[in-house]
Amino acid sequence: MSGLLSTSLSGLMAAQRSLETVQHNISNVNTEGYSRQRVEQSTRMPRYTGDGYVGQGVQVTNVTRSYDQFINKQLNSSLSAFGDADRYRQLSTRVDNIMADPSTGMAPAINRFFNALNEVADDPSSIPSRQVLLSEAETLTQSFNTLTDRFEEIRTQNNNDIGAMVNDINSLAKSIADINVQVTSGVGRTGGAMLPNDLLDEQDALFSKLAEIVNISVVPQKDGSSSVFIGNGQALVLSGDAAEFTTFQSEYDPNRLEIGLKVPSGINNVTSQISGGSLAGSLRFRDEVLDPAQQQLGRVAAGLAMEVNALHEKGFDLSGTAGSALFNFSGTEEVPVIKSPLNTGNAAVRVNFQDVNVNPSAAGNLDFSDFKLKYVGGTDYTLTRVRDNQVINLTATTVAGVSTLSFAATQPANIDVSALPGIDITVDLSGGQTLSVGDEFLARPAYSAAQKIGVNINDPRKIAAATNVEVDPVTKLPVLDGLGNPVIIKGPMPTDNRNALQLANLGNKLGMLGGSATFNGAYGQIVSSVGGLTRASELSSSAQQTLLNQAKESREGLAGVNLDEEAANLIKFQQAYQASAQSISVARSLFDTLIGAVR
Amino acid sequence: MRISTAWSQQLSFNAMSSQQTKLAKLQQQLSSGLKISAPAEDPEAAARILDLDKSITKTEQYQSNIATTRGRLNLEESALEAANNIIFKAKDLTIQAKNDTLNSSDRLAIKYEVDQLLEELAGVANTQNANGEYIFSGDLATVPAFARNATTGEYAYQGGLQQRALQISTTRQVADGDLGFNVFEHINSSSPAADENGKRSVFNTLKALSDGLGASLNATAGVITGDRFLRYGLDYSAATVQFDLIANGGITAPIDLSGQQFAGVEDVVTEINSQLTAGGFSGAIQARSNGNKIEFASVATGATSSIQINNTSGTFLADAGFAAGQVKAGVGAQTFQAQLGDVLTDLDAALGSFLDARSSVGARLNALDNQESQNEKYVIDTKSMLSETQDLDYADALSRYQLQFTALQAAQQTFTKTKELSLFKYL
Repeated sequence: MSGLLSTSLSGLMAAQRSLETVQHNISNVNTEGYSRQRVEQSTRMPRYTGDGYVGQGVQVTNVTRSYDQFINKQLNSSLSAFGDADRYRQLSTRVDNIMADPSTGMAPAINRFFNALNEVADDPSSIPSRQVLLSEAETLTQSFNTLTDRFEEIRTQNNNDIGAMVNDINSLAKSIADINVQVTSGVGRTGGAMLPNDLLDEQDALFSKLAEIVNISVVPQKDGSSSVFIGNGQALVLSGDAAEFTTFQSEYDPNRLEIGLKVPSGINNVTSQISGGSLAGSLRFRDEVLDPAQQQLGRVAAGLAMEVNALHEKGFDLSGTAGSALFNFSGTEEVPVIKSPLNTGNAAVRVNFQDVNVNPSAAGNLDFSDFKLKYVGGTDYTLTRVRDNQVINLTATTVAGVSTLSFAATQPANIDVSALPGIDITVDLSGGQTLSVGDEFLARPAYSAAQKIGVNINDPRKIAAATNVEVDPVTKLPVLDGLGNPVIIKGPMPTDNRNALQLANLGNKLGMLGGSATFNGAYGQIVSSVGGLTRASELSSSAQQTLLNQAKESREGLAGVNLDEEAANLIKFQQAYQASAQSISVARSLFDTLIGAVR
Repeated sequence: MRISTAWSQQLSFNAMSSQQTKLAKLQQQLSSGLKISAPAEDPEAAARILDLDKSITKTEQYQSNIATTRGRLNLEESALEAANNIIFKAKDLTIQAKNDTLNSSDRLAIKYEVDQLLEELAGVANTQNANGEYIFSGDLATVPAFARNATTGEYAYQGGLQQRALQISTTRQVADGDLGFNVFEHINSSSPAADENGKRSVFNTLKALSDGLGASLNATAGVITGDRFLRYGLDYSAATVQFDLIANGGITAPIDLSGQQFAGVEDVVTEINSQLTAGGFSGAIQARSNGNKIEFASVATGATSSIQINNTSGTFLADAGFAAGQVKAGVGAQTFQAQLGDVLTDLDAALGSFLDARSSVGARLNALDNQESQNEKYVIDTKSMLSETQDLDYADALSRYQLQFTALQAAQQTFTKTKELSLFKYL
């Protein structure tokens, strides 16, 4: 008879547990990362009687969460892929918008500069036209400066973001490790039979947050904890221990942050191992969009300065003096050269843009990449084009301790250049300076050119509009001297506009990008390449968004709470509870009947 | 399949958010009137817009260059016409003066008129444009094209050697004037008084007319003129430069300019003359400036006088534009009729020179017109191409806006309806 009560009671208890779980589910309908839970029930061990095995009711065996390791893994990898693509898209869009902004747009400034040159050619003795040309040159250089400054702002912000993301990774790793400890003890308490569902949900949510920043692989351990790895197996979390990541400045460029892993012996550079997630998106953006755009802009600035200066220096100004450079690059050296801290020699390397008057294709040969110079030994040097690691062999010719490097006769196979990339390189070994084999230097011809370009002259009379070449007024041919060179008149020819005409025509010259583009065309290529990358990133971001939504949908389909379902369950378990309660009441009346019969 | 409550909400939200993005995009297009607001929307079109913009601004600059050139050529054209009229008048006067019935006072009356014409022609040749530039002075337009030499009383060209050209299309340049040297000075002459190249300036022709009318039928001296531009002098500070000037076939004057530097042609003339004086040759040989050139003359006149230059060492002959051994003899005085006859022929040659210049100006004006209409057409075509590339099709955009608007409304309405469905309402 007591079995009757206890069986009913077990139903009552089971229904109560189920109702609690339903309420837990309903309460957490909007909790991020929550997996709906259900109560697993089984029949209790039956009692053997002479009549056979009699059921003893129900027991709650476990509370489980709807969870699928595969779906969660899929979700995390989708989060990483989307985080990467979307961060890349956000940042490229900013560069793209800057390019499109007419107030910073280079193209109108370039057009106006050449139009002003035309005006000077129309009226070479007019000081106002010359003044306009100087202001337009000023505007042009300022446009170059402003655009680079905007790139620099984005770089600074991107660096701050990278730092913040690395901090996030560290704090997330710490929390995951803490939860690992709790999970291990929670699992240990039940001998591994039952899992602390809500803790695991919390940990899964942390994995997802981490996956948004960087691609991770999660490996569950026997004790219930999870190990987290980044890249090619760099351990981030191992049971209760979290590794620490940090950022540090690149060897050659303090504005370039690298990602490092703190180890007892120091810091390991793991930048190249970072894949997926918004961190990778930031790094990829820097390497694929920001740096090339800035370098290509610098190439246009350098090419413009080289071509215009070369021609301007050949001309003569209003007072009959030979022209000086119209544009300059601020600082003591035209091209910044950074010495590797590992160098054992103390020799200084100087890099300058070539003179177009000496090498007419110098501007066309300019490459936007950085170059790494390495001393190989003897008279041999190598110049590595950093953007694609193309190696160029160089030979030194030394005069009075100063080595001038030139394109060597023997070159690696498949080399795609046949001259130095528009720069002259000298190594100063005079005065006891030394160079050791393996010493390295980084030259950045294009990187800061657009930031450093400025106007060199401020007196409109100093604009060299004249060529001062003496011509025969009858034949209209230049008068030649004994060596066959044109004779230059050594005095002011105020209305000679021949040099201004040639300068104005530089705007039409296909002098950039190996002789295939005008200055404007070269700028247009930057716009279309940034535009193209941004467009591709938009497409890939929206594709990743779709994949992410699918992954979220599968996870939500499995683990998400449906209120209608819970309402139905509520009714179901309520009824079960009511029925069990009723059967207790029946048992009571049975007792009453029995007691009444005895009385 | 199961749909979780939170996810179904998220789905509706995603749908509405994407509709809103599209709507905002259309709104931006409609308010800016541009199809593309950032290069990423159509990278290839973005680069093309830059190209088209550049072509348009460049061609508009060429149009402005054409207008400038046209203004200058029109000014030259009217100056040439004025010069033409002066020469016609001078011709009439010459024919009138040749009449033997005129007495010397009649001729003097004509002479004063001719002197006026000479001044007038010099004024025309020194026409200035609005910027104060002398239009016939080439690339030295800040100085008058012709100035009267104080020693000889002759007008000499002192402008530049090169006519300025303006860019009127990517590949085409047009000169915006003509050199006074070619128009007024370098004119074929049949007169014995012509220079060694057989040329006489129209000013010298008018001067010969005036002199003839003033009854000075002078014999001329031997004169050789260097044809190089010495306005800014010579620098022999580190050179040995010696040459000989030989007058009348016998008087040899050695000149030594070694180690000296001269800032202008007058300085060279002064130095040579002082060496001639010091050597006692000043009675036989004279150095003079002729505009930006240097010339040497024998002091004696007539057929027996001559002047010759020979190099000893250095580069003076090449620098000043003399041939080694260059020699020119003087000529004897002409008769009145012969002098005026040559003047008449030379005035015709001057008219021919003006006509050449005028037809060349006309041809250039024509070329400007042609190029201008070509440029204009190019700008119109390019602008329409630009418009096709970057401007919004409003009709299309408005209808898409309407459609998007309706879609967003529908999404919002279905969302609220769906949210009303809940089993809990029936509990």
